[in-house]
Formats: sequence, C-alpha cells, structure tokens
Amino acid sequence: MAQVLDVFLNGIAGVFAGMGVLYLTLKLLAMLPGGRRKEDQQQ
Amino acid sequence: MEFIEGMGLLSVTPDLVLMWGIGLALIYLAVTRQYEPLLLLPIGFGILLANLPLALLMAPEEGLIWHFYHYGIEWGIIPPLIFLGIGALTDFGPLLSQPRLIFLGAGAQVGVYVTFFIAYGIGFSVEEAATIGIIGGADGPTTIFLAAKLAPHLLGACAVAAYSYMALVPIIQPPIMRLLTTETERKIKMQKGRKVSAREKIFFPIIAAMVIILIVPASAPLMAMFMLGNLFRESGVVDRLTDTAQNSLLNIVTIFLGVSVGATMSADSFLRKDAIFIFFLGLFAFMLSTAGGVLLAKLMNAFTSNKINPLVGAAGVSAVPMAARVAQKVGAQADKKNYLLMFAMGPNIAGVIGTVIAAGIFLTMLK
Repeated sequence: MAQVLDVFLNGIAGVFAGMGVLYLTLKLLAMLPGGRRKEDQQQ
Repeated sequence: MEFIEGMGLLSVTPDLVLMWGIGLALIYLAVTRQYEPLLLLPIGFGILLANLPLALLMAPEEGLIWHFYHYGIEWGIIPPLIFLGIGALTDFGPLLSQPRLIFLGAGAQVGVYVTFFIAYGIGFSVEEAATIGIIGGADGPTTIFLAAKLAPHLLGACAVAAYSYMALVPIIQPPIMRLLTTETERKIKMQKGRKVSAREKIFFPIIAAMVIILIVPASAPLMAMFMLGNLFRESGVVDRLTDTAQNSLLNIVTIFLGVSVGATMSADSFLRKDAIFIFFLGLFAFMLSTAGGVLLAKLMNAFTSNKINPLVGAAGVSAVPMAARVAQKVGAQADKKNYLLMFAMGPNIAGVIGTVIAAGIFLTMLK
C-alpha cells in the first residue's frame, strides 16, 4: 500500500512538475530574440 | 482422416464463437459508425484471427502475427513510430501562444492516478492498476506502450477500451462538461493568443524533448519520436520525411499495431471478469480526467482576470483532435459566436505530453 501511495502522490506531483518546467520553457522561448514577430512587438 | 482431424472447425468452442462476435462487433462499429475505424477495423479482424483454432497465428516463435506483436509491440517499436507520425501532424502553435493552457493537460491526468489507486484497491496488481489507469489519458499508443512493459496480458483489453472511449468522446464528455460548468462559464470568450514565430516552433521540439526526457527519462522512446516528428514538420526542410512520417509510415505501423493488438485477445486471456472491470475502470478514468481538466480551468480562473473557458479543460485528455472539437461544439451550444477550437487544441496537445509523462513516471517507479 505504501508503494501505491508513493506512486500516486509522486505521479500527480511529477506530471504537474513536468508541465510546470515545460511552461517555464515556453515562457523563455517567447523571450528569445526574434521569438516574436515584429508586428507583435509593435503591438 | 488426418485432414479432417486437422480441421480447425472441430475445435470451435462457445468461447471462440463469443470472441468472433466481439471481433465482428468492432468491425461493424468501425464500418457503419466509423468509430476509430483505422484502429478498430484491424483490431476486430485481429481478434477473429486469434480465435481461429489451430491457425496458430499467435503461436510463439512461429505465428505470423506473433512476429508482428513480438518485434513491434513487445520490443516497443510501433508505439514510438506512431508518435513520430503524430508529432509530424501536430501544430504546437496553440500551446505556444497560450502557455498557461499546458496545465490543463496535467489536470486531465488526475483520472489516471485516481483510477490507478482504485484498481489496486479492488485487487489488481500495482503494474496492472497502472496500465488500467493510463486509459484515462485517452491515448492509445501510450496505453499500448505501457501495457506491453507492465502488464502484457491486459494489453488487448486496455487498448480496445482506450480506443473505444476515444471514439466515444462526443458522447461521454458533454454531460460531464455541462454538469461542472454554468451557462455563464460556457459563454466565456477567451482572449486571442499572440502570434508564434517559425523560430519558436523549431526550437520547441528540440528543447521540449531535452527538458522532458531529462525530467522523466522513461518517457524517452515516445517523447523523442514525438518531438522528432514535429521537428521534421516545423523545420520545413525535410518535406519528404515529414510526408512519410505523417502518411506512409503512420499508416503502415497502424496496420501492424491494430492486427497485433487484436490478436492478443484470445478467448482464454480476454473472457475473464478482469476485462469487464478494465472497461468500467477505463471509463471511470476517462470521465474523471475530463472532470479534472474542467475543474482545474475553473480553479485557474479564480486567480486570473484573463478567464479561461472551462470547457477547454476537458480537451486536456489527449484524444486529438476529437476532444477539442467537443469543447468547440459544447461552447457553441451556449454561444454560437464563441469559437473555442483553437484554444482547446492547446490543452489537447498538452494532454498528449501529460499522458506520456504519466506513463514515464509509472515505468520509472514500477519497472
């Protein structure tokens, strides 16, 4: 049972952590020079 | 006389006839209702073949389909190749333009883990429970990939459950979406995301593959191929490879996948009460995942002024693009001028990534 609880909690936390890191990656990508089109920068 | 004794006809049992009925039912649903026909048609035929006595098509080391199954699925080759094709077909633009929607793909994995917990509670082993839980992600190749590694004896039932529920998304999801949202919430118009540059789209598969594989190395086979396929597409310099991954290769491996999965469903392995539990638990997982996405969107709305229409949360399950279309349809029923499809594609694609991460975590902790 301890193993199941461990997988359950680690699983949910792991998915959110993974997506959180990916979210930060997306945010960083958007900040790359040239990451946005000129027209977006003007807006 | 020897010829007559060698006829399979004399070895037909009621169990085999029942399996023929199941195989024919899937073929019927594929042909007449067009429920996931690309998969359910070969799966249905594979079930028929596996239950023809003395044909030995699934005999280890000997049968034709056993070779497809062994080298394609047990060796873990076909699901990643399917992901290569899916990657080549996927446009990450909607996700890149609204990164916060990625969390809805995580919220929709709740059903996977809750069902894992429940399946273990009613007597399945930890490995079997994980395989059943992943059905909630509504991702066929990932379900097959995980089942082949953790519980190969459940592969057929889990795959059929996953693909059946993916086909039934337009029937299963709307009542849950309506139950958990108010009319006002369903009418929320989301702000348009920013435009995404070609450079971002090229960088994304490279960096995402590295980041995700560094965090969950066990997800590497699926994630690597998914992002490679997408890099083919977004680079714009390998049209031949993109075309092959999107069409020929994807079609070829789909044939082998479908027939092999169907052929794992022999009467003795499938006609057990476990299979019934798997179908019920899989449905529960899928419903809970839908609810998880919707509820997370509502929770996110509590902390932001830029509101998310909670319906797009339901697209966090990875049935692409069906779940996104359902979000669009239910949204349009509340407000005809509300176009949610492109917003829903973001969580929909995030759901694919989320399910692969969930499967990778199961593999890391249980293998």
